[in-house]
Amino acid sequence: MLITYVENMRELGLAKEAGLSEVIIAQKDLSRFGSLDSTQASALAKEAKSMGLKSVLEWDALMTEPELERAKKSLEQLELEHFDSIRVQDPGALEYALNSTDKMIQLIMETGNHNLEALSSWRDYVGSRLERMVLSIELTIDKLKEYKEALGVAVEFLVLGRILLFYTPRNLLSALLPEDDELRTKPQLSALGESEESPHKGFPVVENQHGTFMFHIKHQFLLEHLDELSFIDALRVDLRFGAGLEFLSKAQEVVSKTLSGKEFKALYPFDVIKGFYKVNKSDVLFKKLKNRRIQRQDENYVGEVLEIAKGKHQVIRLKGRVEIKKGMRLKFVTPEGKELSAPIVELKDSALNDIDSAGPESLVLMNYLGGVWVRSQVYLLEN
Amino acid sequence: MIQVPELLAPAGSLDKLKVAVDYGADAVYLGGLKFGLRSAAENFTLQELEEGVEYAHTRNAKVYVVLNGFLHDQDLAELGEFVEFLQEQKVDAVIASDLGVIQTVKKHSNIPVHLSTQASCLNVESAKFWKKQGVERVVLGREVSIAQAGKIKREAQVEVELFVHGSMCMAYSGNCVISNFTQGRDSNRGGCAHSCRFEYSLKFSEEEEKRKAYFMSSKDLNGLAHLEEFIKEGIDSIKVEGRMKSHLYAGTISKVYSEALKFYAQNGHFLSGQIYEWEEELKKVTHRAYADANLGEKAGANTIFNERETSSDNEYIMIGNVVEAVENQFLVVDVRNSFEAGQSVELLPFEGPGVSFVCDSILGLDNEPQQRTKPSSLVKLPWLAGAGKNNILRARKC
Repeated sequence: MLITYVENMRELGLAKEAGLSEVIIAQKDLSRFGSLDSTQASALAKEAKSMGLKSVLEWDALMTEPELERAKKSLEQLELEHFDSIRVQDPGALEYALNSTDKMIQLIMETGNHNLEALSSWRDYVGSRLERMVLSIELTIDKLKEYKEALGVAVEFLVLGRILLFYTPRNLLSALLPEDDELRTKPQLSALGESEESPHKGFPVVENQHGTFMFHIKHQFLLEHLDELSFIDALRVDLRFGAGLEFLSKAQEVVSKTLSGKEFKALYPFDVIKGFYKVNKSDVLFKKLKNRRIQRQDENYVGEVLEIAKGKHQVIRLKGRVEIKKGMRLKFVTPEGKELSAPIVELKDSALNDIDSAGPESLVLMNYLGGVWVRSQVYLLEN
Repeated sequence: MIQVPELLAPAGSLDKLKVAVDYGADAVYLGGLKFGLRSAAENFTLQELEEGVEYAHTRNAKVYVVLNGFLHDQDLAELGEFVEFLQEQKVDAVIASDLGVIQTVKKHSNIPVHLSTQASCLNVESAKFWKKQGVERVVLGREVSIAQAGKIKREAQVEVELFVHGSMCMAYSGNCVISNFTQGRDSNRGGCAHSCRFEYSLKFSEEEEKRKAYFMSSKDLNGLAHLEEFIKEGIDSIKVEGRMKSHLYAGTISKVYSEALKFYAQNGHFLSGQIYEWEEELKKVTHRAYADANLGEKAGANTIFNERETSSDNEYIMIGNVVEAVENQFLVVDVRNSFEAGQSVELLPFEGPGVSFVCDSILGLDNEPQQRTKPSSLVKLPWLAGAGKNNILRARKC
C-alpha cells in the first residue's frame, strides 16, 4: 500500500485517483513541514473521509516544553474526529496522544531504533493503540524482514522521497540575511549548500518555523524493489519537495507493474540512491579512527614510555597494576605496531637512585632499547 | 550548606579522569571501547575502567559510563556482558539513549540509567515517558532552558541534568545523520565527521551569488553566568562536554566550576569579581566563541559561530603536567609544548589561584640542565609548595 502527504484538495483528489487508501495531513504547528492551519487540516481530513480515504495527522516536530504546550493548543483546535490516527516521534507527543486522545498511533521510529529490543519495547509500551511502526531507512532489507516478522505489527518504510540529514530548531538561513532582506518575510527559506570538504554538492536546506533542515542531495528510491518489499504494510512516497504529487500516479503504476522502476527513475526529476537498503556498514571505518596499537591491552600491562634518551635510557610511567623488578623481561609495542623486548638490567627512580623494583604509578628509568618510541606501550613478558 | 548541582566532567582517558577528579569534578563520564559516541577518543579498556572507578570512588567522585549509541542488533548482542562487568565495578550509572540499550542494561544489572541527551528529551511528557522506562535521570536536550529544566524536574519527578559548558551539536542530538549518508560513518554510533563545522557555499536562488558561511557551526556553550539559575531551579547535575578535549580543558573547566559551586554552597551568592575571574579562566582553554545557547532564551543568530575552526586565538597553552612530585625536591613534568629557562609559567593547583613562577632551572631526568624543553620529554622543575601529581602547567603563548 502506498501512502503519501497531501496539502490541499487537489492533492487529495490526485491521491484518490492514484488509488491510495490513506493520506498524511500535516498541520503547521505539529509537523516539521506542515503548511496547513488547524481549520485547513481539519477540512482536508473531513474531505478525505468523505472520499473513503483514511487520514493520519502528522505530529513529528520535536518540542521543548513551551512548544509542546502550543502544540497541545493546536491539537485542541483540530477537529480530531476527522482523523483516524496520529503519527508521532517525540515521546512527549506520544504520551499526550495516548493519554489525551483515543486515536490509534503510528510511531515514527526513523531516528535510531536499529535493534529489535528497542522496537519491541516501543511496541509493547504503546500496546493495543499501536497501528504501525515507521522504520528507519538505515535498516537493510534483511533487517526489515526480520523485524516485520518478529514484531508482528504493521510497518512503514520510505520508498521515495528526500532524505532528511539534519534537524535543528535554530534559524540558520535567515541568520545569513540582512534584517531588511525580503527573503526573511517568507514563511519558508530555501537554499542549496555545498562544501569543499564534502564530495557532495547541492544539499537542499530549508528553514521554517520549526527550525532548519538539511537534506541529502539525492532522494531515497526503492520503487525498483517493490517485490522484495511486499511484506511492508505501508510504502511511503514523499513528493512534497519539488517532485509534486503528479508523480504519485506514476508511482502507483510501478506498484501495479504498468511502469517499471527504471522507467519511473528516468522520469523523476532528482538523482536517487538506495541508501542502506542492501547493506549498512556505517561502523566499519571506526577502527581507522584511532591507533589501536597505542591502546593498552590489559593483560600484563606495565605502562607507557614517556621519554627516550637515545643511548641512555627510556622512561616508563607505570600505569598498570604490575610491579616490575630487575631481571624481568619487558615487551614494548611501538605506535607503529613493532614489538621489541628487553630484560630490565638497570632500574632507577626519578631521583636517579638505583632501585630493584617499582610499583604502580611510579616513574622509572630503564636501560635503553633502540627502536622504542615515546608512547610505546609496555607489557610484562616473563618473570 | 546550600545544595548545589553535581559537577559532571568528561573523562576521555584514564589520565583525564584523574585530572578532572583532582580538580574537583563530583562525577565523571567515560566510554568503554564500544557502545559510545566517541569512537576516535582514547576511551577506556576494561582494566582502565576498573582503575578509573577505583580512583574516582576513593576520592568520592562518581563514574557514569556512556552507552549512548543508537546500537544495532550485533552491538546489542555484546552489550550484556559489558554491563555485567560494569555492575561488578560498581559504576554509579550508565548513560543510554536507545530503549533497547536501556532494556538490556535492566536485564543484566541494577545499574541506574541516565537518559543521554542523544535521546533529545525536551519536555515534561517526554521525561515522564522515560521515567516509566526505568530511567532515574534525564540528561535534557541542549535546546532546553534552565527554567524549563526546572519545570521538567518538578513535574516529571525525575532527576535532571543539563549541559553547562562545551561544544554544541547544532542539530537536535540524535537527529543528524550527515556523516551516515555522506561519509558512511554512523554519527549515532561514534562516527560523527563534524560536517556541521565545514564551510558551506549557500545559494538562495539561481541568480544570487553564493554566500560562504559556517552556518551550521555553533558557538560553544558557557553557562557560568547562569550558575545561580541552575542552583535555584534545583538542577541535579551540570555537565561539561568534551571527552575528546585536552588535559588543560578537563582540569581548567573542572576547577572553575567546582570552585564556583563550592563558593555558592558556602555563601549562597557569588561575587561579581569572582565571576569575572572565573570567566577569564574559561577563556584560557581552547574554545570557539562562547554563547549561552538556550540556557536563558531560545538560541538566536548570535549563537552561530560562523568561523573556521582554529586554535590560534588561544592565549594560553598547556606546557605540561606533573607526573611525579617528589616533595621538597623536584617536580617531573611531561612536556606537551616547549618552554624555556627564564620563561614565566603557571601551575594550576587543585584549589586556589594559579601559581606563576619563572623557570629558573630546567633539568632533564638525567639532571642535565636544559635551556629549552622538547615536547614528549620529561623535565625536572624545582619543587613548588602545594604542587601535586596531575597538576597542569600552562603558559601564555609567546
